[in-house]
Amino acid sequence: MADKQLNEKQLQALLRLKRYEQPPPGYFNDLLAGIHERQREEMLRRPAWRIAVERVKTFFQSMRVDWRYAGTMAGILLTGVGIIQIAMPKQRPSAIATSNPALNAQPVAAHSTPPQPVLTLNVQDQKLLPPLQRVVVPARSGTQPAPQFVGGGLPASYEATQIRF
Amino acid sequence: MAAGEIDPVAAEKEASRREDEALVARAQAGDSAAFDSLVVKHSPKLYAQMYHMTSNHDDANDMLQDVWMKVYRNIKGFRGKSAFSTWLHSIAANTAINFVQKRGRRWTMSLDDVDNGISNDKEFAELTTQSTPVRDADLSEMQRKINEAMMKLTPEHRAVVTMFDIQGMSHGEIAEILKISEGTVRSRLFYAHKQLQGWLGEFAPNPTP
Repeated sequence: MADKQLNEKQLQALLRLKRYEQPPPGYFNDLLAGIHERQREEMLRRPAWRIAVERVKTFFQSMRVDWRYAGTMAGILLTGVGIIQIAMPKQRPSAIATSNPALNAQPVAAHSTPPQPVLTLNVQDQKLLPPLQRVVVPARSGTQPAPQFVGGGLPASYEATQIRF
Repeated sequence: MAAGEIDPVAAEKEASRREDEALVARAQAGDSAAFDSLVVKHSPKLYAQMYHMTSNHDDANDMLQDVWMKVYRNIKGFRGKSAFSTWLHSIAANTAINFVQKRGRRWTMSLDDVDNGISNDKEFAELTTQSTPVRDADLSEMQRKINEAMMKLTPEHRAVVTMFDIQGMSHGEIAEILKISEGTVRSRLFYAHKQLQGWLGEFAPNPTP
């Protein structure tokens, strides 16, 4: 038994019989359905940015845009914008103010600067009064609401009021 | 063949290659129907490659789906430096070899149905008309023994035997798919055949008296 051996031709004939081993009927239709399912699963797992990039690419592909041409045009556009930026002198707000005397006369808006003392009373010249220190009234910032009073001057009370008839 | 005569096999291969090129271009542009056509066209041959590497239908099915998903993900990067079928079989061969290497020796055989056409096969008829044990052996038993012998081969040798002896690919095609030299293909085949001849010796014809 041990010395029995197939020759090359017999072995190849035997191996070729394996071609008749076939998958179950209808297997290839099921395979296509299985691949579709896996494609859908993979689509759902993809990040939104990648889908967006692909959509943009597809859009440009459908327009038959040559990417080299589009890149060149984008480069020219950016260079043009850069040249315009360099060529146009930049005017700072301070420069505008000093160059325009009419604007210099205008007070600077209170909101644009931090709260500063805006009113100073010096009453040292009045002889009837004892010498006083400088009274500095801080400016109210624009964001703080004005105090509200009920009844034209009385502060509101949380105490329960007795109703009288 | 006379000079100037067109080889029908070569002409068929060329037509198939052109058809693939057109389908791949459409699939690269996002045409899912073209991708489906590629799946339908190439799956029987790919399935055979997977199945003969594992002798297991479920494993072959899993691997085949994996192969098509790899193709689906990478088809846009396919530049056509080689034929699409070569690229496809290359992915399939690598997938199968990696799968078998990872799995090691743990495997279960699930024999696919033997097509009824085998009884009409000329070579099978020749084998069974001779005074050989093939005639006496049960068909499924013979199938089991051939598959067992195949599974004893290393994945690299099994891949070469599958592509050459079962699928009928040329040495050049196999070399291109596996990215090895034709000489390596020949030496692997020689070594694998020697081993199979020993393991399948029981099917050798009885010596004539």
